[in-house]
Amino acid sequence: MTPTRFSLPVLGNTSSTGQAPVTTATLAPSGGAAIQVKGGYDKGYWRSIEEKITGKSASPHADREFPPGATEPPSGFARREFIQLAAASMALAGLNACTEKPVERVLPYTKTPDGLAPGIPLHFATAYSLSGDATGLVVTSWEGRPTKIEGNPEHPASLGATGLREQALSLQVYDPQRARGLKLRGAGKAWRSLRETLVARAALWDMDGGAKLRFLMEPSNSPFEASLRAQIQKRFPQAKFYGSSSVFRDNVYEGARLALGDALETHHDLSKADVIVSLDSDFLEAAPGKIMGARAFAQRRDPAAPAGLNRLYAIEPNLSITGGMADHRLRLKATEMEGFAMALLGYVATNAGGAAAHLSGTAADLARKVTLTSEQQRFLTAMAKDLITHAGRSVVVVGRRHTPLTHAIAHVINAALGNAGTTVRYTKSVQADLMTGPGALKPLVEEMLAGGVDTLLITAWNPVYTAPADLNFASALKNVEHSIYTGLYEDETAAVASWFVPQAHLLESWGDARAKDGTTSIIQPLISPLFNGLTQADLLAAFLNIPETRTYQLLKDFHSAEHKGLDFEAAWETWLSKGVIPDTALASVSPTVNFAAVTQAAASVTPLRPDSFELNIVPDYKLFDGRFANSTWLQEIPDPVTKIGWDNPALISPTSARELGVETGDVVRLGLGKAGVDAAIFVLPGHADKSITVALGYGREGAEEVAKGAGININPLRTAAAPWFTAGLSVTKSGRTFPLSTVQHHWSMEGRTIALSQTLEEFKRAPEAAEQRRALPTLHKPVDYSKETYRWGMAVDLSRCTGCTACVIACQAENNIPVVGKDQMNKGRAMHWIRTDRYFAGSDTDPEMVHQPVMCQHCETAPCEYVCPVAATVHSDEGLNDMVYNRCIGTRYCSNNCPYKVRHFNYFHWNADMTPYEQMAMNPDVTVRARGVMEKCTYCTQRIERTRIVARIEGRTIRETELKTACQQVCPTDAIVFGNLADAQSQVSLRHNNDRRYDLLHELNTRPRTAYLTRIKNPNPELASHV
Amino acid sequence: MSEQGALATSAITADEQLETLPLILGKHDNTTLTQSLYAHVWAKPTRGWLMLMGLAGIGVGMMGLALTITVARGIGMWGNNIPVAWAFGIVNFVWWIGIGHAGTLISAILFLFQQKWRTAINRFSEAMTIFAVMCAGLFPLFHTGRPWFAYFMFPYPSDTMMWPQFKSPLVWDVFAVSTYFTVSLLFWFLGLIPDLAGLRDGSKSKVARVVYGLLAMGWRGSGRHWHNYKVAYLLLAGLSTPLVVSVHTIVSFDFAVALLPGWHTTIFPPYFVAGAVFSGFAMVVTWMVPARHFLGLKHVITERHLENMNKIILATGLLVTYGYMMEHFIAWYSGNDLEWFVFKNRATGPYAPVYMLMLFCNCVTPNIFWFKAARRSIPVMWIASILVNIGMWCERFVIIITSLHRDFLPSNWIVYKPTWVDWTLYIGTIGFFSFLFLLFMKFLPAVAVSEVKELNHELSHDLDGHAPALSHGGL
Repeated sequence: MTPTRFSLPVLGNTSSTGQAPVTTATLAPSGGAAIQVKGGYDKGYWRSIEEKITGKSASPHADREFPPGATEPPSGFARREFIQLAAASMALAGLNACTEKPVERVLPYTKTPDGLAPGIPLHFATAYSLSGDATGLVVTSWEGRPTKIEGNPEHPASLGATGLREQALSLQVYDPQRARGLKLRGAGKAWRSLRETLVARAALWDMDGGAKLRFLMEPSNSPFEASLRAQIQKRFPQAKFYGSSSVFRDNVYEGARLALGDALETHHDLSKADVIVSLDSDFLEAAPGKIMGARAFAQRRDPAAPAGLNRLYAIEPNLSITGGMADHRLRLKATEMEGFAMALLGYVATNAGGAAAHLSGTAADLARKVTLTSEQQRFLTAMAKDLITHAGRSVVVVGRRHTPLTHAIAHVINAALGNAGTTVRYTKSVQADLMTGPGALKPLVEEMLAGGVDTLLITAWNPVYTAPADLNFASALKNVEHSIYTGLYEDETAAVASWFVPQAHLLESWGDARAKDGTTSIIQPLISPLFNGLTQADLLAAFLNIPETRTYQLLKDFHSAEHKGLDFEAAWETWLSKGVIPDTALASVSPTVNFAAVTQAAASVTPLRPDSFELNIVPDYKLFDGRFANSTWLQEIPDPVTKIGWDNPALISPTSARELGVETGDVVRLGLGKAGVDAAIFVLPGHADKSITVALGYGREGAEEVAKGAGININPLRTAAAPWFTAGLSVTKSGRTFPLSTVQHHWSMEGRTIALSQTLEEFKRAPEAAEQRRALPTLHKPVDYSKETYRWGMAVDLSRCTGCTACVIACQAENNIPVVGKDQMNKGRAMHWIRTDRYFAGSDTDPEMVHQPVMCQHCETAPCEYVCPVAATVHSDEGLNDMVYNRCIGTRYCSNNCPYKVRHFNYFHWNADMTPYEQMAMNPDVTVRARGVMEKCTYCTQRIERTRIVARIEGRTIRETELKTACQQVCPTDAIVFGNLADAQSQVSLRHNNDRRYDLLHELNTRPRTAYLTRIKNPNPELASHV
Repeated sequence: MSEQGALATSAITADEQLETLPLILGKHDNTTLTQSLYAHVWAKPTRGWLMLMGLAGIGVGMMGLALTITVARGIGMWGNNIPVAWAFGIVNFVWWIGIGHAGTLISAILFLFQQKWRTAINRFSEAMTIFAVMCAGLFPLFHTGRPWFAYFMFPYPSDTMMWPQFKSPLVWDVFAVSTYFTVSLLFWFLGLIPDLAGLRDGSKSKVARVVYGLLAMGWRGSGRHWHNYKVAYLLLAGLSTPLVVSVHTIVSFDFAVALLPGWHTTIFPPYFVAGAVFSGFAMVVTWMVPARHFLGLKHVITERHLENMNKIILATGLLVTYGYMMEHFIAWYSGNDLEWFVFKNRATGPYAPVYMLMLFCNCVTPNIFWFKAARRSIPVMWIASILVNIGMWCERFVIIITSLHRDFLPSNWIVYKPTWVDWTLYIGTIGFFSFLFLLFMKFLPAVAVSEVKELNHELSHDLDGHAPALSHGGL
């Protein structure tokens, strides 16, 4: 046994509170049984007869060897203990060889494998599933060390781009705080002992069919895991599988079941949609298949798009990324969304004719039940007319948080408008468990409380933290004799479950994943498990008594059986290199919409119109449900809308804030029934009144050091009945304030021409308006770049940019950008080379939001260069503004003279405390900067040079397709384009010559190489005054 | 008697009719002057001096602490950030450099203009110049991210073939400030040589005799010595004169050359020089008022000296006020929205109190010196001079911080707050300055003894109705 009196040093854990997390669990008393006297060889010796009978000790200090006042054992590092530990360590070091390890070990090369040259990175395709939503990835690996993650262009859910979180995986795999050992109630155990336990128990399950065996699974779309589950089910027919997710999609499937008769998956083809109505669906950022949606949406935001500009109406309580892109946005409390949908159905059914004509009577009744304000009515009428005018080319999308009825109504409207088959199509779902919400968890918890579960495997992420408070999952879990939890970190659930199994990271795993459309990818590892983690499939296989070393073979066998008649080995290699298995997408189905069922269901519903405050809970843009809470990158990336990092404030509208007399930073108590949570207010323009939005995923209390202390946990206010939103919230001022950290303290453009936005009308009337905002005549002779082969330039299309900030984190991963922490971030010392400025325009109740990515503009007449006293920043022939780190002495004059303020200074040695693990995440092509030097965007100069080497060897110039900057590559909407301005046909040249092109702060005549394209809005003339 | 001499005589007579206050109080001869002016050097350190030294020593300790922390941990210990990448460091640099302007102006320019009243105060203010420039020099060095590489700013031969980037005003600064410091130090030391010899000759301990003797560089007071001395003094005065104007002009280029609204303005050079003289004279008054009392120098530093300095404070204060008015007028008249915004923001933004304090101290305070009673009132001038120095510090704060904190793109806007290290270092340099000054006043004559004796000679001749002898600088 490991001595537990003092903390063991943990690698990289410098800010430890003096007690290593691994030891805390053992210090807690082990439940209600008789208190064990220490030193008694683990038998329950009792000391007094009272203790034996009542289970309670007569003396409050019975757990001590000596009564109080007697000699206290010396605390801390005694000499004897030190020698004991030293001796034990030496002895245990020899035992290392005895632990069970997979046979397939990664060994140093004695002979270099084919295709591997030191210093030349390799790229491997894999796929990542976030709560059941799979995205294809391509991972860059340096001599077996994955560093950078890109999207897989071959994969339909990626198209070469990724979201924020996928980028952070390359840091997560090297997180030194990841769990390192298998544990039974806090004590280290070998994997073998768990397997032996399972084998022993399997004999019992064989007898009763696994009646008390339960599985609580992370949402899975893996066909291979599904086959393992089927085998387990076959062997233990009484065993049950449950799915659990904090960000579940039950309502989507239930709505489909109600309207379509089956829990089908709905796919929206936004490229064909002229009019899009989003009922609180954040489809650009927070819905499965978001990249596909965002790409298709953005293609139609360009006025030059052949099909013309689309028009987006967003109805939502909280200002989301999608709401920010909307041409018209209506603030509506989440609780009122269902009523709004009914009213919309009423209008469409009465006026659209066609398939829904027979509904007009009932639908009008429905509409009458709903009371709307005149503003809402005006919005709805104009929007519904627009939908009807564009019947067959429009779409209604509903967010996953809303009721099944709202989803069903959307299906009805889409069917009535003839959108089904054009902008909407349906397929079967790829999910193993459709229902993963509280509704699915509740029966399991009841079984657990009733003692009906003796073995429970939990692969779902951290249910103790995520389960709605009223289910009381933690206490139910204590009731399970053998609970096995697997996770990347020893989180809240790990502290309660009896067994903890460290999980293999995605980049350490074999497996497979199916995207929303059915496309299957093979997940392949890039590195041998750093901390002996096991995959979900390994654990399932253990229930079948299959050793984890066999899962790779099982995976291959499974796919070999699925694809008979192929040259399997060759196909397997192709799949691995392509990242997708061809022709696995699901075929569309054409269900009939049951209009009557939906109207009937709607008839029995009374639309809500609460007067009280509502609580509105949303998944976080960065941390999702909290599983990324230990990622410093994601914590520090400012939220796309609030620009807050390291916290989840309570978002409230300016009007409601004035009513309550609170302002940003004030702490309020959010009360719901008996439960209450203290939260810091953030006044967000554009938020619905009388509604407070809080994101999930913060206020973590697991062993993760980074996650601790960041934000508040809103889960105590989540109930099984109302996991997303509910009225009746009480908001009480506490009088305290809390420091929130932001990278952008000011919201308004102050009337300056910065992020330009025009309506389509204005643009058509005067397309040259932006053209005037380009380089000015000058007395000086500008440098002549016309003879250069390459003139690097960039163009950012504000029409396409949603502000998702994926570019920020991609840049961070590519360029080894350090994290500075909450306090330093608020002081204006965040290091992100590219930032997305977010401005609000118009009224603070209904503002227009525009995002503007700003990175180094690589000015041809750069103001930073002439003021540097040591020539540490100089211009290259190809137009790059280069930074020479070892020449920089840090006068910061360049930053003062940079009008864009894109230069970032190393105020401290941010990289000084990096653990050897974190060092592995660094890109070897990019210098890790020291203290006291300036740094800034380089247009990914390392990528230019890598590509140049290849092109030079082949004796040609660099092709446009082979060179992308990190921000460009990750951008889901192609808002950022980089390339050679000397090539008139390159995308970047075309954009530089676009009518919408303008230079940021052109009046300074800095002649930036980065151009911006104005954002074009497409308002409905009927609602024009609304803009 | 030459015609020139006659003219001079009549000028002096006219002066005396206008001037009511004498330059040297009472009747003195060389002996009494020698005794009274060297007295504070020979006197045992008083308790007051020791206590002040203790306080200043604490200041030096604070400076040491702040610098150690800055070098050990990084410039992040200061409050500056992006966009306010220069803050206390540069504010204090410009403030100290400005203070260092009075000395050379008094010694060189007033010398060339043959102003007699400079004689009693030049030593004092030159010393102040040197110490102020020492304090100033600390800031640009330690505000860099990597001070150990600050030598990159000097043009030195190296195998990297890299020279400084001569387009940068910071390089000009390096030359301007180092030249100014060198010339000021030489000028001061040269003026000290006859007095050091006097100290050598009057010293009673061997150590003092050796130290002063070495510093006196073999001065024997021969005619040849005096001749060479006078020539060198005049040359250095000539050399210093353009430096008085150039240093602060170049410091102002640090801002004027940048394209930042609030910095990018052509009025900066003259306006900075006026401000520097303004604050320099104020600092001289602040120190001189107590010093003449405690060192027993009231007979040579009379109210007339103080009144003259107050007149200069009034004149430069009005110049500074004019500068402010023009700056604001041009910002509005130019029609440049960004520029105009900066000035509106100064008056109404988060730093409005500092701006208002600046206006009060720099534009209102000096006007009290329109009144003769105020010009001659010791408490009034002492308080006013301190206010002027506060005001000039605020001016640099306003120029640097309010321009940076809300610049072109509102997304970058921030409110800058100094940290405890910023304050410690600032107060520490005041301690360091005081420390050096107290040492100076203990070990060196605070008044140029030989020059005062010469002046006394001249004045007594004038009183006797004789023609003046070779007047100071009247070669």
